[in-house]
Parts: sequence; C-alpha cells; structure tokens
Amino acid sequence: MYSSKFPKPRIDQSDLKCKSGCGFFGNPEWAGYCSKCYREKQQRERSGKVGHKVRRPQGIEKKQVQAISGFTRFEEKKRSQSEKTTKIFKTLSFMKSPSSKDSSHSRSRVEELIRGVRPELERLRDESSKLLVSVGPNVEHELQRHAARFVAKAAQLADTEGRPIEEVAEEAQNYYINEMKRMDALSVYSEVSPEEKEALLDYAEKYVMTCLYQILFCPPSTTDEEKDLGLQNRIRSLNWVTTKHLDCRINETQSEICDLYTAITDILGMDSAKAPQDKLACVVGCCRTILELLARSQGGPASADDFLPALIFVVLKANPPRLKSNIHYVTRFCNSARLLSGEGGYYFTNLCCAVSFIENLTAESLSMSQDEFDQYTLGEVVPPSTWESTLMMCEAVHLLNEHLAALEDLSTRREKLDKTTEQLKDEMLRFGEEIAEEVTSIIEKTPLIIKPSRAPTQLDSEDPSTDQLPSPIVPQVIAPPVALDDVMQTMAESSNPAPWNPVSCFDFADQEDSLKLVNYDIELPGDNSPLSQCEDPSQLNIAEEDNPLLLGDMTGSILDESESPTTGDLLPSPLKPTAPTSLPSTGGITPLGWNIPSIPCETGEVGTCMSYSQSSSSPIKGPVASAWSANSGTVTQMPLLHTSINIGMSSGSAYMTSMIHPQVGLQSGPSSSWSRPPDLPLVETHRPDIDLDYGRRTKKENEEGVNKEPPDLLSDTPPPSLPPPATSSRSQVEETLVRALGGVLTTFDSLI
Amino acid sequence: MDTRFHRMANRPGVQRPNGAAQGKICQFKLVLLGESAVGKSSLVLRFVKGQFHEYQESTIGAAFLTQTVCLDDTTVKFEIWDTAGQERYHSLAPMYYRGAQAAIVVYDITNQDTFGRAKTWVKELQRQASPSIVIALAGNKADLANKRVVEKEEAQTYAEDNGLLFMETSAKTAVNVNDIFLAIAKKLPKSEQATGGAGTSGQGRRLVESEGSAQKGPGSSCCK
Repeated sequence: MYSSKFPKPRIDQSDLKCKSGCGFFGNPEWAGYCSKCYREKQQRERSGKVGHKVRRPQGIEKKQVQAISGFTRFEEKKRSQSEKTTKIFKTLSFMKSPSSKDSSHSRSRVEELIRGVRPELERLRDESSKLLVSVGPNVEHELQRHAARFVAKAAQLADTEGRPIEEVAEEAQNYYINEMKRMDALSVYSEVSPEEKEALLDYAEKYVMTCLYQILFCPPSTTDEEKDLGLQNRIRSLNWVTTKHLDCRINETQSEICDLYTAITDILGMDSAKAPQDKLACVVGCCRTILELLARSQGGPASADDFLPALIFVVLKANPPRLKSNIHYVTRFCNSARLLSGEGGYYFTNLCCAVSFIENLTAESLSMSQDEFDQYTLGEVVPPSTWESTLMMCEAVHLLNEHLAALEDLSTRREKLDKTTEQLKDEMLRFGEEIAEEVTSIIEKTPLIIKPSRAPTQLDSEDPSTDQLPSPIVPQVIAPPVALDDVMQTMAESSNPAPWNPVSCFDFADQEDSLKLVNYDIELPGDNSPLSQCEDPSQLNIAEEDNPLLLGDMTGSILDESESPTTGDLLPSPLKPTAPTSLPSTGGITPLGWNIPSIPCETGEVGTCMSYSQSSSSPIKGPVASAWSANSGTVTQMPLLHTSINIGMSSGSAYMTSMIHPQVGLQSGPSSSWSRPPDLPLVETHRPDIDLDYGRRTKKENEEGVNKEPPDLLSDTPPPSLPPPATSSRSQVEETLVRALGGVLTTFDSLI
Repeated sequence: MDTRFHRMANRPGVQRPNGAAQGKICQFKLVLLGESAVGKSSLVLRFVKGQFHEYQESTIGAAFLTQTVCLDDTTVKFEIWDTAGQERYHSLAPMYYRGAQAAIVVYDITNQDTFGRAKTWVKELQRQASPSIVIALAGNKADLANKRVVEKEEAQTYAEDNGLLFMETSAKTAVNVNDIFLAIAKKLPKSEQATGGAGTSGQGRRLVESEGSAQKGPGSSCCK
C-alpha cells in the first residue's frame, strides 16, 4: 500500500500535518497526530477507560498488523496473554502492598531487576573500574544512588498499565540530561574532568539500561515483536535479492566477500548486547567492516552510493533477529546526543534507512517488472544468484585461507627451527674452539716441560760470546783499607815488578820448583800443621770420589779438557774461608768479604754451577783472568764481591794459597765450581777485566807486568821471582788467610 | 519553523549544554545530496583531505567524515553525512537530512539531469528539512568546462531565486571546494554559534524525537 506510493518523494504538505489540525507535523506512528496531540489523546483515552486493556492507536498501526497477517492472530493472542499476566502480577502486587508501600515495592522491583542482570552489571563495573576509582567513591555513590532512583521510577512507569513506552523513553532522555546538569551543578562532581563526566554519563546510561533492559526491550505494550516477525518474513521472502539488484558494487564472486561474514556477525551481535551504546557499537563495527571491504575492492574510500546498498545487502543476508525491536530500543533509550551526531549516529541512520528500504521494497526499487518481482517473492522463479555458490566458495576460501595460515605458521616455525639449529651448531663449534683456545692458552701459560736431566755446564768450554759481554757490576765498596795500600806499597817497593800480580803469585803451574819459590805458602807437604793434614790429597781424593757426581763432572768437564798434565792428580780441596775471629785486626781485609756467604762446592748443583776452566787457549784474555785461574784452577767471580778462587795445585803435593784479594772469599777445591744462585747471570761473572775495583787496579798493574813478561802468562811459567814475604802487612795477611783456611778446612772436615 | 519552537517549549529540559566549557566550538551536521556520480564524495574528500587541517578520522570511507574550519573567533566542526544518490534510495534521504544544519546539493555541470535532480532536492529540503537549514548548490566538475551543459548563469539565477549559496566547484582541481564550505560556515546562524552547542543540542533533541517517530514508521513520515 505504501510501497506504490513510497518512491514518490513529493507529497502534499497536508499529508504530513497533524490530524488534529494544530498546524504541526503529524506522524503515522502517532496515528497521524503530532506528539502533543497524540499524548493528549492518549491521556483522554486513559482517563476515560481506566483498567481496560491498553488501546493501541488505531489507524496506521492496525493497518500494519493486518498487513503482516499470518502471524498476526498468534501474536495478538500472545500479547494479550502477556498483558494479562502483567496485569495480574500488578494487581497482586498492589493488593499485597498498598499504595503507601509503593516505595518498598519499587525498591524490591529494582532489586529484582538488578538481580537478574547481576553478571552484566559486574562486568560493566569491572570495565569501568578505572574510571570509578579515579573519580572517587563519593561520585560513584552519588551516581549509583541517582541511577537506582531512576531505575525504580522507570520500572514503575513501565509496569504501569497503559503507559506508552515513549513516556519511559522520554523519562530516560530527561534522566540523561538531568544527570548531566547535576554533574555540572553538584559539588561532588566539581573535581571531575569533562571527559570523565562523559564517561560517567555513559556508565550511568549503561547501568540503568542494563537494569531495565528486561522490561524496556521489546515491551509487550508495543507492536515491536510483530514488526520483528514481519521484517524477518519480509527479508526471508527477499532472499533472492542480489547485489546487482541493489546497485551494489560488491562482486559476489570476489574473495573479499568473505569479509561480509564479519559484517554479518557484527550485526547479528547487536541483539545480544543490552546497553544501547553496545548495540550501537555493533552497528558501527558492522558498517566499518563494510566500508573497509568496499575500500579494498574499489581501491579508495567508499561513498554512501556504495555503502548503503552494501549495508542493505548485509541486512538482507544476515536477517538479524528482532531487528526492529533493537532499532526501536536504541532510538528510545540511547542518549539522543549520540544518535544525533557522530559516526554512530550516521551508521545507525543508515541501518534505519536499510530497514526502511527493505520494508518498502518494490519491484520499481529493484528496477524490475512487478511480475518478475512477484514471482521471485513468491518463490515461483529463482533468479540467477551466485550467493549460494558464493557461500560455498567462501567456505572453501575460508578453509583455504586457514590452511594457508597454518602452512605459513608451520613454515615460519620450521625456519625458526632451522635458524635455531644453525645457531646451536655455530655455538657448538664456537664452544669447541673456545675450549681449544683456552686449553692452548693454559698450556702456554703453564707448559709441561720435561726438563732434560741436568748436565753440568762446562765451564771450560769455549764461549766466544763472553768477549762481548758487558762488564760486571762494579762493586761499590772497594776502597782498599789502608793496610792494603801499605801492602801494595810494600810490594811495589820490593824488587818484584808486579808483586801483586796474581800471575806471579798464583801461577805456579805444575812445576814443583815453583812451590819452592813460594816463600809464603801456608801449607807444605809433610807439614804437620792441621792444615796440611786436612789438605791431604789422599783424604781429599777419597772425599771427591765419594761424590761421584762431582768427580765425574770434574773429570768430564774440567779435568779432561785441562791441558795440564797434572790434572789427573789434582786434588783440590775446597777451602772455605771461615769467619775471622778478629776481623778488625785483619789489616787489609774488609769485613764485607768475610760476610759473603760461600757455598761449599759439594752443595753446589751441578747444573747451575759454573765450572770454568781456564786453559791456556781460553779466549778470556787478560792477565788477571789467566792469573787467577792459574793452571786448571777455576776462578769464578761473583758479582757480589763474591769470589772464590780455587786453586788446584799440581801433583797434589802442595797447595799454595796466598795473597788473595781481601774481599774475596777463598775457596779451593777440585770441583772448580762455585755454586751460585741460578738467577745470577753467569756471563757477568766471567769478566775478569771488570772485576772488583781492586782487581782492576791490580789488573792495571798486571798489565804492566804482562807487558813486561807476556810469556809468563801464556807459557805458565812460574814468575821469575816471587815477592818476599817480608813485610809485616804481608805476614798479617798470611795470618788471616791461614786462619781462614783453617776454618774452611774445619768445615770441610766436618762435612766429610 | 513553528514546530521546532513548539516542541522545544514542550521540553524545557532538553537543551544540553554541550561543550559549554570549550567556548565557541560549533558542531554542524552537513548533508550531501545529489545524484550518484556527480562527485559528492570526491568533493568532501577534497575538503577533508585538503588544505585545512589534518584528518579527524581515519578515512576508510567517504560516507561519514568530519572536518574543522576556523572562522574568525569560532571553530566550526562539520560533520559531513554523505547520502546514496541513486534514485531508488531517494526516499530515504529525509532520514539523513533530518537535523542537518547545512546541506550541499551537488550537480554535475556536464549533465543536465543531475541539475534537474538537484532542483528536486532543493525543493524537498526547503519543504521538509529544518527551515533554518543552509543550502548550498554546487556545480561540480567545473574543470570539465568544455563539456559544460548547465550554464553557470542558469544555476546562478536559480540559486538566487531560492536563496541558495552557489558555487561551481571542482573536486579535481580543488577550485572553490574550501570556499563553499567556508561560505556555509559563515552563513550558519550566528545565534547558534554564540550559544555554543546549546542551540545545536536543542535542535538535536527535537530531531531525536522526530527520528524516533521515523523509526516507528520508517519511510512513511515523508511519504504519507
């Protein structure tokens, strides 16, 4: 009936006016009256027929009911039953609780309502807990109190028979506005920011509407349910409508159409939401999905020209349950500000348009002939539609996509696994290398050296490098005591050109004659002095033989190489200087020399010992060296003024020790070795030219002597003359030496 | 016109002092009308994406967009509602322009039919929309002047006769696009700007009521 008229937008002004002729616009929903006249009429009717079944407005609504047919009778019956139930319930409750207990009744009603939606309210509270905490308990309490009051009022209003739902809607809108005014006015809200006020309003709206949803959604006093069924049937009868009919640019065969399912799901979710905002959010979500789909398939933002047909198509395919009820509920109870403007308002308007279009759909609006339309609607002819196949295709595509996603996931995981494996491999390799490196470094730091058995250093082996060696450290305390000077003087006075020349003094070679020349020898063979006893060659020999190592070394290193013919008989005795009993009295000998510890040859380690055998062919030149290492005797000069002079005497018959440098520890023995600390640089010890200061001086003197008598040194010939031990100083020295030697021998004895 | 005041008087508490703290920020609902393919969405996209401010919303569609324009001392926020231009959806238009403070009726200067449709829209708006609605007529595709069918003078005369703002625009070259929106912003009622959102809200409240009634009899409110 409207459908034929509907496409014609131009209608007379009079058609729109209120029936009562008040000059304002009328509305078919209000029986053609304007809202004011309609309410007045309602009130008149109510006051006229109290207690009667609510009178539905005549006219347009009745017509609609007729139009729906089929279900109408059943619906009518159902509604009257529900109304009856309500009436009975109310009557009962009124009987139970007289009007004086109205408040208690409403309170219990509110409690009942709240109990019904407790889970939702709790969820809502959880969602807004942050906001509620930030505004404080006072604000929340105030809000809650007012909301509860409104819920009671609205519930009472809705329960009251004959009151149109619009009154409750009006009440709700007033509540929203009042709440906002209260927020601006009350001091409780003074510290709440505008944004929080908005959020609080939202919260209040959700709260009261969740409470009242049960009685305000699709109330029995309205025809919402009938309309729902009518629309549902209408959509069902239009299930053949395709996108082409709607001038919609969605291609049903495109894979993007799968997104329509998302949109359909969104719009279907509208029915399950309780608060108007939530329902609105579902609509917005649905519309956004559609717009995204359109934007993707068209490559640009979609305009309303494309959007509205797509939305209509979605609604047709979704056929959402109780769509009209939902739309009415949102329209009545959603904060009007939200519906007026903003995205939500726009999309909701579009949804209303879509529903309106579907309800008033005609052959003309689908650009087809009436016959064709009727045939399709009645199901006599099925138009070519790809929707069914699209559905199946979508299902397939959906599955395909799922499988693809699964495959992708698997491949990603495999890649990850591969990568991890590689990493692990690398790590293992690196670990191995690190360990190897560490082991190497540790081995380097602490090398395992199997040292070869120590062989005695051969002092008499030739070492040309010794020539280039730096001079040994010059001793500091050198200045010879005055006594020495005296000695020297005395010696200088003597006829001997080099009385202190060790060559002349010690170079006795192996000639027995030379022994005789020594006029200041300490011990003589056959002498009965203890010294000579100690120095008994046989004794010493035995001692040496007891020490095979030493003996062997000696024989191997020194004795064999020694060119001296007397080496075999050489029986040196290690003479150790003993600490003088009367140091100060020992004229020219400084205490330092005595203090230097001397190590007996027996204790000396072979490996570290420096055996030094001076042969005639020794590269060490210089009178001092040759002189001091007379014969096969070995001179080992220690840098710490520690010098021992071992003098091997020829034929083992006599030992001659004399005129030793006062600062030199005297030691004589066949070992010709001097045990020394291993860390002392051996090389330095062999530099005779930088010997003790005193030595140097003597060297100078010797040089003169050498120059005079070079053959002396080289031919081992005894000095032509020996200085006579005439001077008192000399005798003193001799005395000291004897004493020292005695000490040494004593020690030696004890050692043996 | 009377309707509005009558209804507002009926509901003294409906005025919502919306955004009172923010001073002079006026929000206006602007509806785009016109045959499909005259470039409604192009026009609004040009306006919203153009030289004014940055995007207010993510542009997934040109159906609903917002743009803020700064006048001398007032910030005017346009909320632009696009409508489906196809003839078959014509009857739904009242649901869109209900409550709109401004409307732009767009036609294509290279298509005489669209101009004819535009005249229909204007008539309908003048009769059914809010009496204070500011209507602008936009002859789009001005860049295609060589294919011009609708003479500028003809449209100009029509606009003057009906008290409309008129401009020939080009969404492609952005000619007059911002100008027409600015002109609308200037022509919008001073009182509403002065009272901030209150006046708008008052109107809005009224609109909810009529919208609610529209839901109960969808499509019939304007066709009965």
